[in-house]
Amino acid sequence: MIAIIGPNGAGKTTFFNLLTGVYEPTEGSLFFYNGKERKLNGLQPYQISHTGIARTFQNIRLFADLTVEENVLLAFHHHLKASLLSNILKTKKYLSELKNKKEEALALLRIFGLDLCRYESAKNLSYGDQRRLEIVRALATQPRLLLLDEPAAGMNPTEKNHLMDLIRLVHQKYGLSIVLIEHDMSVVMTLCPRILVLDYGEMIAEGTPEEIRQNPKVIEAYLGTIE
Amino acid sequence: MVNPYFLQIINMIGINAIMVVSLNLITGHTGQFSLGHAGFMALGAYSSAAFTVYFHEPVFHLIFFVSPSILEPIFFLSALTFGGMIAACAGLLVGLPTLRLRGDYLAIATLGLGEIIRVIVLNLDFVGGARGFTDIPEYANFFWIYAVLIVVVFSISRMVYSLKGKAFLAVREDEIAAQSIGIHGTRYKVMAFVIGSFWAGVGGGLFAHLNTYLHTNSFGFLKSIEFVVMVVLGGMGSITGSLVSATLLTILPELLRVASEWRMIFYALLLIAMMILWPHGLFGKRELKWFRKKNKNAEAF
Repeated sequence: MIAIIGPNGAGKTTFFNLLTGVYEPTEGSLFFYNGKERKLNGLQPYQISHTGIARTFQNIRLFADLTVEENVLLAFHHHLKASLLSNILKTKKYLSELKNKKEEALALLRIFGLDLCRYESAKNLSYGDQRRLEIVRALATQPRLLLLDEPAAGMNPTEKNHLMDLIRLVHQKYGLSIVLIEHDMSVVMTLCPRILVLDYGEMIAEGTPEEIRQNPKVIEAYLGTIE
Repeated sequence: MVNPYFLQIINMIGINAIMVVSLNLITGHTGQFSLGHAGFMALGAYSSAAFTVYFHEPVFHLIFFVSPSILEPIFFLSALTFGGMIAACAGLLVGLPTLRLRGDYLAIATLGLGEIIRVIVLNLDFVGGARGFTDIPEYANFFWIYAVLIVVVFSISRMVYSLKGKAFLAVREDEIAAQSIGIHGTRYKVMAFVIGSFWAGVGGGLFAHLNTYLHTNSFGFLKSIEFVVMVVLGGMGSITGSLVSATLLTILPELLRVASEWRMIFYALLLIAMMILWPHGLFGKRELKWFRKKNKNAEAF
């Protein structure tokens, strides 16, 4: 579990965009290790998703007019076995897959407390619920690496604590790696044993919360001193 | 017996419904703005008509051992499929390069395509050119039209509301998010285009064999706009809406005949009024229960 912190404009979300294929690097290479090493340069976002990287977005990108359940079901897309034709014909294979996936979706939603509103349109959810739904959807793709872009933005302290518990739970239960972009230092320091600091597109420091807290470069660029 | 005038209207409703539901797949369900639907209709109309007109003699002569009452429907079905395939090929050829374009630019590209098709056909003498294509056998009737409509509605609704087919909707809602969860956006956009244009071609074939006469004037930009208006009025993404608006907007000009030369003005005013009253279309994105069951208890879709 790693956090990336830094002032606005440092390039944190840009880094996520590079990692997920939204931008293509003009120089250098990106590698992802998932069983074997893969070079990510030039891959389209959907292909990168297939390698096992999932993400959430800084400004929520849910499928607004679809239901909560449908948002999650869509994340299973790559793993679906029944062909589109079987879907149209409603074959036995399709129907049983549908049933299974709905159960899987329900189980995931239940962990995040979103099971009761699963037939609700995503746009009708509260802000906090929408943020959590985005995480559930990302998780449903069965990733090896989960990139969370400011997951606690706009949340009150209770919601933040709840979210931190969920992130910890996900990290332990699914054994995946999590990279977090966050501005809330309490979240970052409590959750992440390792922190990277970016400024003006460069990494200026890396280390444990203790080391980062005391790093003079970081204090100057971002954290500020205690008065 | 039904009054032939009413029957003609009912038949046109059916054909327009096929056109609108197929366009809705592209524009409403997958979110790709297409202003060239009449072009696909034209391709289907002209190619299926050429098929029946030019292959009639050789086919019925060679396969003399099968009675015409059995051979004819098979022959017509082949013609319709042929028309659909030609339109689908055009859909593929257009779709592949242009689907990288966003909204407005795609609209202009499809508009251009529609016009290109129309002008090419206008210059093909073996399908009548500027005089029009005459003496097309009258194979289409109520049963053919509505049978095709049922197949179209069934297959498209089953497809977009199925587990895998929801990807079309995801691409419409937010293509970047869809890509991030592993959905190949371009593939679904092209698929929507190909399937939509296939059915547009079949609709064109039915149109050709209903009216027995074709002229490229019926397939211009204005025709494409008419279909877009029907889709938007019904609700982009609502199959139910498409069926209702196709019916309404086919009947309306006929009802307005009483107003003679004021007819088109009233038509336009009514359209404006309807869009003010229902800015998301009559049905928005909603459907009648049975296209898309959203049950709290039982299995949905």
